Amino acid sequence: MNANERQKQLVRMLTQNQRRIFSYLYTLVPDRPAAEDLLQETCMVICEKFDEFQPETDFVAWACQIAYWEVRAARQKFSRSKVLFDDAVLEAVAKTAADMSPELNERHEALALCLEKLHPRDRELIITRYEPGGGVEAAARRTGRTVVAAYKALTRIRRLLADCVTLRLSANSIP
Amino acid sequence: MNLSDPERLELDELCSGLVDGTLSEPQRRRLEQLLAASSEARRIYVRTLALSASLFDYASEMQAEAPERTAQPANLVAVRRWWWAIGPLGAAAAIALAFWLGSVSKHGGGSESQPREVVAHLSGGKNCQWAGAALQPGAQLQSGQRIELAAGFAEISFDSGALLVLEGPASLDVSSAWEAVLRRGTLKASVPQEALGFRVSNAAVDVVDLGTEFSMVAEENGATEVFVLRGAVEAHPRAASDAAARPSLVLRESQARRFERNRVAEVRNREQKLQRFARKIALDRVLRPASFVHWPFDETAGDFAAVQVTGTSSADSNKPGTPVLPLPTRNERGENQGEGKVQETRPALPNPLLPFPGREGEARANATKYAARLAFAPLSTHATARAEGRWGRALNCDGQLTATALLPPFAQRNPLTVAFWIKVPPDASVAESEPILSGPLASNGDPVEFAWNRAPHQGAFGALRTSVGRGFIIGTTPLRDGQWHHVAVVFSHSLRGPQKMQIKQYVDGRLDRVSAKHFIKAKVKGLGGEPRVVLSGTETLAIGRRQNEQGTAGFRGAIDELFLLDRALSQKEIRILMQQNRLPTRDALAAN
Repeated sequence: MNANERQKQLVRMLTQNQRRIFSYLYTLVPDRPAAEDLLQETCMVICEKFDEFQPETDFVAWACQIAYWEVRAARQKFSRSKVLFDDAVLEAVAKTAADMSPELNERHEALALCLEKLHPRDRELIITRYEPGGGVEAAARRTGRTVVAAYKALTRIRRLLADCVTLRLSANSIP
Repeated sequence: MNLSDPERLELDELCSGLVDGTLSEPQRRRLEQLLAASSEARRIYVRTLALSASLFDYASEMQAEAPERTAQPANLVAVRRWWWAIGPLGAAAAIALAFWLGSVSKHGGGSESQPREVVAHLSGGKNCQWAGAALQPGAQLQSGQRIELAAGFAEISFDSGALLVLEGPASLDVSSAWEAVLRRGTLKASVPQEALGFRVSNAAVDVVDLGTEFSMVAEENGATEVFVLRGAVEAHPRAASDAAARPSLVLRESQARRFERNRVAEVRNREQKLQRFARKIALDRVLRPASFVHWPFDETAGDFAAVQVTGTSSADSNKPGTPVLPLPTRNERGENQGEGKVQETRPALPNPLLPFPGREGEARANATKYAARLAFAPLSTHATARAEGRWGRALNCDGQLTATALLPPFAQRNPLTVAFWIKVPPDASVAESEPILSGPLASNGDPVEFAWNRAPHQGAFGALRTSVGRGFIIGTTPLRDGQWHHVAVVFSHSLRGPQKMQIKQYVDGRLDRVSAKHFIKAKVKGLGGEPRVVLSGTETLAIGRRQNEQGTAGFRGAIDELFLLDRALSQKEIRILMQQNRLPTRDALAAN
């Protein structure tokens, strides 16, 4: 494969998998801006090291390894609110997240269908909470709830979505 | 260790608190304890956090926001919220770009900036230290945004083309693409011909540029000194009352004045100050790589118009065949000093997705694959299909001749620039005002059309009109005059969200004043599929006619040097593209 084809492959793989890498990072650093910064730093390293990637191996697993070391390298510059856990717990969580990567991908796909099934009012709340520039207070304001009620509703809706996703996956696994 | 039911409930609550930012320190310690002890807890935790990560992703794709109610003038007719009526999300399984259709908003010759519209960007700097949150190189700046520079130099490029270099400590309000307020500190303004009329004001003086380079120093006590380095400016002293009003004065090269509350005075040490301001500051500039397709239309015969598919790199390569590595760009953040918070974070999508320049053979294959194919109607002849162009030859559409080109793959909702030269006969009829270009550049495949406006009740007749679905924006410069005009339309992300796009039209390198807009904003609706829609390389661009209306009578006029670029060009880059028919290098940008 020549350099040009490798570049195309790199772009394709990054484009296809950046969401999964972000998801992994967010699990380790549950702060959106910090996780996005780390995603960009990870992408830079992926670009630099792409020659080392073996095409027949798992790109996401390889990228997540890079992401993990980016988190480790960056943790000293974050406050405790960004990287929550000590190294041992961080490593255990990272391993769990890496092992669960295929399942998490399936859950992501199933979530789209579960979101469609939500009551429009709930859907508006959750989307407003998670959209760029959104947040719990914005979601509360938009949907005419108090902030406390919005927190409660968000917890309930996330639980609903998680149950729906689990149900869908278990239904799919029945032969 | 398996979790008990109460522990599962507790973990659920802790995870919720974590994603919503309400976790206390004791709760954090408890969460850490559970995760350290139980693999089941870790699996639940990972699923919960991944759910939130997925929701961030889907929420970026969906429309859940009600239309803005505040920014609309009182005479607006009721906004048609048809997108809401069809069901907030369920009906839109595919990504769809919806425009908010309000009444036509007319803009006069004044400022056209909308609330929170991006009107400038941080294009360079040297040793910048910010008072408050730092601005990243390349950061977009919105109307109303205050820039607080503690030390160093910051270069701000306005969409009009005006360039301000701010020297810290300084405070500047970005008012619009055509205006800024220097609250305190020193600036140097370089205003190209296209931005003539650019204004810098403060409590002491209004300085209106007449094509020039000038410096301004605003002191803490309100007194302001103005120095003209080149060209001329018109200075209007501000007065506390009508009685104290003083006449405007025109300052020419090497002249300077000091504007105080109740008087205009000579400047002390004028020569030394002029010399200091005339010094060039070597700034570090941001130059992002771009990939583009270019149809030069230089063929003299045949039914084929070759294309060049290539790009420039941040290392200044502007040669075909030079590899371009699409590194993800850093986050661009609009920092509002007043509110002190980050307003928007861009997604980290590797941006340029057009085919990369490669080996000689591949470049040749692309040149054939994405070439425009000309379609001759029975009444049109090959003899008139080519004309003298602005650069070499041009495609001459006679109202019958049309062309179709395969679009290379690219990310649809990323910033984009479409640029071309156009010559429309002064006697072109309304029936001959079909789109100059039309292509599925919007995310739902809605054609984006570029035409001259034939509806005088909607906006300036004969001016550039960019339509997306049912929305449109109309400029003011007449195109229907038999002269060559350079047109560039820039689609860029709004600071209100990456899925909301801004459209800016440039004619002859100048930001064209908007005579009418018929959409307020665009947002993405939809659910499912890949989050970033990338054209597959099977979509086509129609030249001289509407998309999907093969064979209909089309546009009459000549078109030349069509570029489709995968990022939003600045005014300066557009001007250089217009003048040199190629993308600028870093050196060209620094020199211009």
